[in-house]
Amino acid sequence: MTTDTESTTLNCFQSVEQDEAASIVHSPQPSGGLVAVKTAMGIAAIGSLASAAHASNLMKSRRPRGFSIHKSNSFAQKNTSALASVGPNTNKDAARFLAQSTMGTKRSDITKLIGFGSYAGWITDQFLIPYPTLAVNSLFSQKFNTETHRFDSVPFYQTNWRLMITSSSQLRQRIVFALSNIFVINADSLNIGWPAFAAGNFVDILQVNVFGNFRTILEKITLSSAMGAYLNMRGNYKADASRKTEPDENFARELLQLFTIGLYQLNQDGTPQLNNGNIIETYTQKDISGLARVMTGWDCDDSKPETHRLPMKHYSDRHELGEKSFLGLTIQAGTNGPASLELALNYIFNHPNVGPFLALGLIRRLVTSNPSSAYVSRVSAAFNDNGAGIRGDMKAIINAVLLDPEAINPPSDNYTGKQREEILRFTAWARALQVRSPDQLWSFYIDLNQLPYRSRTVFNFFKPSYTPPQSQLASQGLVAPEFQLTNETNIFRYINTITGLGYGSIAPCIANYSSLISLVRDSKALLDEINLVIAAGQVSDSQIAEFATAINSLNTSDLNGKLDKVKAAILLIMTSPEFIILK
Amino acid sequence: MTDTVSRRAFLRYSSTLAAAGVAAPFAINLAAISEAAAATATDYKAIVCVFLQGGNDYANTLVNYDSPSYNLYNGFRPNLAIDRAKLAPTLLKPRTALPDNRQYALAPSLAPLMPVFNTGKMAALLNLGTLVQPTTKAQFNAGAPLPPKLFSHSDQVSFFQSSMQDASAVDGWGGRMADLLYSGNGQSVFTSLNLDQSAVFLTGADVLQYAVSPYGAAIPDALQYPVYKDAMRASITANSTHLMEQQYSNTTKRALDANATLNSALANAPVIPTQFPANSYLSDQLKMVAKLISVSAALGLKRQIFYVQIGGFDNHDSLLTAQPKLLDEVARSLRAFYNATIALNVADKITTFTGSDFGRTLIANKDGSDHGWGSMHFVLGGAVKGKQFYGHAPVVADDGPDDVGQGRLLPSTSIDQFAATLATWFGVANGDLPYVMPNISNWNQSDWNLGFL
Repeated sequence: MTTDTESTTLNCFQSVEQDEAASIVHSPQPSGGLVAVKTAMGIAAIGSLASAAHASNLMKSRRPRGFSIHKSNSFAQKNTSALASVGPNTNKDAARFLAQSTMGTKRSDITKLIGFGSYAGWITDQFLIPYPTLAVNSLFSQKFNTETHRFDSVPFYQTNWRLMITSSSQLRQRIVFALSNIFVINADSLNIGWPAFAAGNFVDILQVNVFGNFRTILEKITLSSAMGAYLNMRGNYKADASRKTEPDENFARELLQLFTIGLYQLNQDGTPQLNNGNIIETYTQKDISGLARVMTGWDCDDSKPETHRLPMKHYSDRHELGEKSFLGLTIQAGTNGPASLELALNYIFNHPNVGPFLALGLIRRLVTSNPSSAYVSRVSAAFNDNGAGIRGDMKAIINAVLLDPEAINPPSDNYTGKQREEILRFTAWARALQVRSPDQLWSFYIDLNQLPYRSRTVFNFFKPSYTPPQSQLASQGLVAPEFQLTNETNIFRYINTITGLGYGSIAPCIANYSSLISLVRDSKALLDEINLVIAAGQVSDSQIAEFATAINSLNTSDLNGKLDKVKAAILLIMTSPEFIILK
Repeated sequence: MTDTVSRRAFLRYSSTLAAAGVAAPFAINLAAISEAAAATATDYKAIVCVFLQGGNDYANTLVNYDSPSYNLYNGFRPNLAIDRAKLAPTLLKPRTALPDNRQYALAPSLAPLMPVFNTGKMAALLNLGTLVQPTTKAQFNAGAPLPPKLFSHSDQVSFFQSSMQDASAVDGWGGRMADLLYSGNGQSVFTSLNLDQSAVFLTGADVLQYAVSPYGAAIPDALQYPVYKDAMRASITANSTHLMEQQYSNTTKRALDANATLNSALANAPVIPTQFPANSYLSDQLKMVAKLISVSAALGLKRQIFYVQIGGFDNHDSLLTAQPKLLDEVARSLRAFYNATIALNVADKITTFTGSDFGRTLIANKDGSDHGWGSMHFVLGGAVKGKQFYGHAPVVADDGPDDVGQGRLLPSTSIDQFAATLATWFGVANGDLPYVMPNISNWNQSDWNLGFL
């Protein structure tokens, strides 16, 4: 069956570059001034996990989870520098790299990367491509600042699809997406007026600053109205004896646990530090209470959409002016709110855990679920010092993650890689087929098991330590976080959703099948092309041959038949486990 | 079950008993494990876990009512306290009064559960929570072993559901109960059922959880399309040397086989006359649980564990508006579910309980409460010895004898004891309880059963 929109698409062979590069304001990032300050970070020796007293209760086969970093692989420590001059030898190499570093690939993206000759050259170019029209700007220009949208988050999701799918600043969008899986907000759960603008500004903070310094990102998200509303820093008051209230601990806790240092002291290579065989906790409840006192006094005016662009405002009468201490830092009594926040964020930013914590997080989001310790260590080192003495340089970290020998030349084992998140499977399709929104509104809903900025909790869609129970992965101590969403219900829901893509499910947005239609007479050529552009060449030749046999019999005498064949080929590839796991 | 699979449970089982220092109740071999279950499983029983994601605020769930306690409660959280007058209709009058004239009322939004309590089919658990061993305030202060990462959502969800030291536990006590009892089940794939997202609670060493959507177990249309259905089926179930590809296709295989079976059973399910609340995902899940129970005999099932959940309980702010809405949804859904079990004539075979990450602080933030520890929970069903409180009413205080500061309750009853009580009712032998709850041996055996079943 062919819908009207699809017929329209067929007549439209022109290129669909929609990136609004013209409207860009280049935002220079202050990357200096953040040289690591040496601090005496006390490391408390509190064993808990697998403590000796209760080791007897542990099953012998049980291992600590979430630390499945493999000590040995084919890359020795001497490979400390990224592969600056290496480039793709084949289209498949290029497509695989783009699957790690973008939201999806158009055919022309592959050609372009090959043209650069080196991966590093492509990344450098991507660093220079400005961000597209800000989410907030587009919400204003599309008149979502009218009263009916005061409590409407939907326009945010729509404009976010625009960013993910059409921006030519694809590396930027992919890192933003990765960070959105670490600094989690849910735009539907913001207890605030104009949530689309609050969430839009949050995404704008990420996309503007993602190639800057981690310290800047940390401060800007801390003071964003969206994070303020999501984790209750907004409206947080100092302890009030008359009302018997204490400061809210929500943001303080998750800032440490989920955004920066995690639960346990880490070595630079991401493995846990041990004290007499015990893992060492990074903080105690006292530290959380102490940091919560720092995070008091901030609020935002949510009566107007435009104020969401601003950092939250500080109200000194609500701020705790007594002495505040956490993790060994003491902020003297009388220090005001903004100064206290500055001290606290500097201190957290300089915690030795941040490098390995972020390194592991980004490697898992972009490349592989189970990196070697050496790989993590190299990325941590880049976080700690970009080579010019600067800590937290995002460009250095991104280069280190994507250009690492282990990322470029994966070890030939049976577990390297990761499950593609459903959002990325969908955007791979949307980018490859140059999906566009004729009315520019991107007003579709897609029934995926994972949707951007819609995690149920701040703990994201999946835990980094998740491994499917009773699997071979589990018995080998490997993690596979994305599998937390893989169950008997969700896998079929995914197949149905991918099937629906071919039949107008994201209308009014439309896909462009024209280049694939021209291949329809040769089943293998058609499948090879889809395999390359959507699946990064991950589907094996033998599987492609099976698919080719299956779709050969389809009648392609008319346009509907041709379209059906293309859609069948896409469906077969996108439901293949070989596509779903990016190796 | 295959030899390889059962070996896993066997190894775990023997090492647990050895570690716990408990004499094996019978010669350890697999046949004995399953026969013990099969022998008693002549009837059907199911346990339903209703998990309140985010950490439910205990103080506004089961509210202090007697004047001295109410005044303390009102004094410690003046901006969050529910008016005493509003609590009068939901004052609980248990069969046995609490010591020291302590009284509790249900939150007004839990009113739909009053008839279940008053007819003796619901009980309240006081200050229940995660522990490693019995722990007093003095022992807490002296550094007694504690569950890892108290007050952290993910870790405490995991510990509540697994009660294992490892914060990212691989299996939970629902699944471990099922390990001991699933051999009596015909279609054992449906032993441990998840109506939402995966939960460690349901996973055992042998038993895997199976996900069923509240809206049915459909098989994709694409797999029925004649031209490529065989190629597609072969692809999505293909074996692979890559462990992640293999894992993905393993799950698909399970789903293809089992969903077909489940669909044909559900097609013949009896109509359940009970009206379930509309526009509630929790209610939809429980309605499907009732449906699944109604076809359990057709599937040859004698023991089942279900897990449903509802989110939104992490009320750092707006507690007074957010929590009542949620509790209302919980109460109406549980009431409907209980009524459905009556309609299906299985009320005394189904035991339902609430769980949550943790309780919250008694002391407020501006207009919410913070992460805590011990909490108040409910258990209901025809087999429950209800209209009763179990456990000890905690002193209402800020850093008093029963809390570790800000009214974060130090649990006086552990999840281990709670689970052991459920497991015993479910048919797990006393000597096998350490397999289900490895820490239970840290309590005196006389304290293992709380007596609510």
